[in-house]
Amino acid sequence: MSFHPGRMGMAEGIGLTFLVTFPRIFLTTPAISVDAVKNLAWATPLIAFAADLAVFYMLFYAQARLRGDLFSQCEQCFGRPVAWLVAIFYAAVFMLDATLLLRQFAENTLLTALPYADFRFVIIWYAFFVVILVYFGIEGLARASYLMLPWIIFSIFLVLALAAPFYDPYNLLPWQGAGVGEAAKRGLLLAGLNIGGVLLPILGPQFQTVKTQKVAFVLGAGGSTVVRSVMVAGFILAFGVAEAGEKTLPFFELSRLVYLSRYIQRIEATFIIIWVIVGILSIAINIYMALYLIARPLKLPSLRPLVPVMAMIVVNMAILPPDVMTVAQIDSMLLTTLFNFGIVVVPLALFLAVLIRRKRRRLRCHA
Amino acid sequence: MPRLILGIFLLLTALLLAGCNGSRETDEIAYITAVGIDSAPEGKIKVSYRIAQPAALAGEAGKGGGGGRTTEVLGIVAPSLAIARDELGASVARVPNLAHIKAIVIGEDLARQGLGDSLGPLMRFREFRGSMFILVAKGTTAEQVLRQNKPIIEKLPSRFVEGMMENASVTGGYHMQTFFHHFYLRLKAAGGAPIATLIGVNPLTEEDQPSAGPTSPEKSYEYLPEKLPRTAGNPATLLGVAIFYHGSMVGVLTDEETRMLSILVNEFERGFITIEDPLEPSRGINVLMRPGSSPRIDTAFVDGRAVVRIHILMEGEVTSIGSGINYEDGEYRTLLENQISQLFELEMTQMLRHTQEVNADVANLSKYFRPHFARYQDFRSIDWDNLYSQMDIQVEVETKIRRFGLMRNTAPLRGKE
Repeated sequence: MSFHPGRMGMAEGIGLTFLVTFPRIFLTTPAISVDAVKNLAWATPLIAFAADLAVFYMLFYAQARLRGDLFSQCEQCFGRPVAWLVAIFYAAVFMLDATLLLRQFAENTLLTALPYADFRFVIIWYAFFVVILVYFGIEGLARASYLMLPWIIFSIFLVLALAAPFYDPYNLLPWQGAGVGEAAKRGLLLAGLNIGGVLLPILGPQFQTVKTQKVAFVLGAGGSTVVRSVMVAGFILAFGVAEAGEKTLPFFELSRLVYLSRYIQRIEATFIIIWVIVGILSIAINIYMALYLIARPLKLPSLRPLVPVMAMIVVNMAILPPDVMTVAQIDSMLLTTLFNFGIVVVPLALFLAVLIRRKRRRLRCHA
Repeated sequence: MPRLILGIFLLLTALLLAGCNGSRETDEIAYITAVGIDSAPEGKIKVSYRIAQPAALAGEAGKGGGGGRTTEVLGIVAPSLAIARDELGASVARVPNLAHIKAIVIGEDLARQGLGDSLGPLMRFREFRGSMFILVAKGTTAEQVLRQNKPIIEKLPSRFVEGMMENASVTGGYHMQTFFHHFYLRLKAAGGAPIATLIGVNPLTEEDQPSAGPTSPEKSYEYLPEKLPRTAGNPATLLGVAIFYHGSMVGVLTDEETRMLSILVNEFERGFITIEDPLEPSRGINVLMRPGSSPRIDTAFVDGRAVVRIHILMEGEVTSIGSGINYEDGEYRTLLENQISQLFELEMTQMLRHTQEVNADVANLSKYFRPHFARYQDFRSIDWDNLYSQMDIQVEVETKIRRFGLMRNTAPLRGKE
């Protein structure tokens, strides 16, 4: 398997972007948002996406005026050393994302589905299936993501609909929650949630045109944002601010709450499968991207020998934090710092570089 | 070759993913269907478990139908629920599983002492869930309730409780479907007081011990579960609700008060009333009532005082007119409608006044003030408990008689023309 990922279209782009930006809705992130922003927490994913959209449009503007993928574009604008730095930085980001997701999904599997299983057993099984998926390459991952997308969305909306008897619309009031300013601040801090969207410019030419990437980002990350926003609203409607803010796994709690009658209740086991699928696919995409960003500058002929090695490194990193609360803290800290840096600085720098180049060219023409 | 090995490996993995993680047969697990919690000396609690016997339910192979007792009740005194769960292992040769609990019953003594410390931690443990029902044992212990819950029709006591809860809204609204989720939510949220359905052990002696006389023009008396005059059947009786203030039980609502509460919170679907005949008060008229629409609740702050205006539309179907007066006729119909409206206004106002006396906003009226606030902290900063007791609550009930059963008018009895 060469580092050249093959040819993909809009559907694959949407699938990959949706899956890589979605998994944290199954973790503690929504509860932390509710705790900070209160009743208006449902707006934070929308604010984060609006900020990301602005940055990505700058990036797409630059891409339309440069050749190749993000690595070669950085090479053209800033030279090879900077391009290498950018590749290493994003590789680290994807690797850290995979690590944090792996640990949290493994912990949550223990917490919800397999309480008496050994932690190492669970994390190694996760890693094993991730290795198999990565082994088949990004096209396989992209198509699996796209095929799973309708099921994931349908299942989520089914849970939201089944939990409706527990909704109280007054839980969304006072509508400003902790304040519009607080919501905007939290939303901007969470912009890093969509860092996975950079896989589109990184894999660049594989998606044919910049327009394909644009649409894939808007529908993939945008779709994921809308679903996440509706889910946060669902948590608040069912649990109210005080209780929603104290949950570790809000979506699991919501599915546990379903009670329509003695025949339709206790359905959470069905939905654990959905979030395990989302988790595994997302971790696999992250690991693939990390490997791709190592192989791309080095021009390695194949990624496959690196897959088990990378998986082992990620597993070892994932088991380093002493407890799940520490992982959640690290996750929160990285989201609001490193991931935000990654989603803003490189696209902005490329955009400015293209503007400066165009201005210089125009001046040269006038001269 | 590697693909073949991988394919075989995946197929073998699929066999292992059948879901038998614990490697335990059903008869190795003690499925607990209800938990009772009572206060015990020295700050301890007495935890009673109702354990299902799947073998008795299923019967022996080939025989069909179960034989013997389907459940057993065991009690343990322990410092906490967690210790009690482990100490259950001292007398039960099975692994306890609490994931199938349908109901938590709290003894009245413990409920009056306060539940915040006992129940709050339950939400943290995965085997407990918000969709469990919470009940308070009225006039007895939770253990007695579990022991005396001997359903006649249902095979399982837990099925009895579940059935009673599911049908609460269509069997008159004399008790309510009280989920643990809502109880916990009210413990945490600003405004709103927790409630739990009352369950009592009825002596089945037919002795009439009403808690209050009928509110004129209604004919029926008000009851609590242990005092309802009845005979035979399951001694366990669900009637009324316990009301809480900051996690401690501070009072009860009788069956009639509970019905008013379920109408106010829009959980009432239908129920009968027997009302004095407006023209011949010694006679009764039976009307099947149901809500015409959701209650409309308007709120305002007037001179610093919280004002609530409640408008309720009820619809009725007359099912019996003892006097034989032709209430189907327009003028008489209005007379009857006004009589019912007056009754509901009176009963609802009395119920709300009762809860205001104990600062327990059981209908969560404070939530209707949320639109008056822009920010959460502003809403949270209000002392809703004290504000509730001072609230000016005005109730207006409108009744429309929509149907008169299968008779279009009432012909006079012979000799009474």
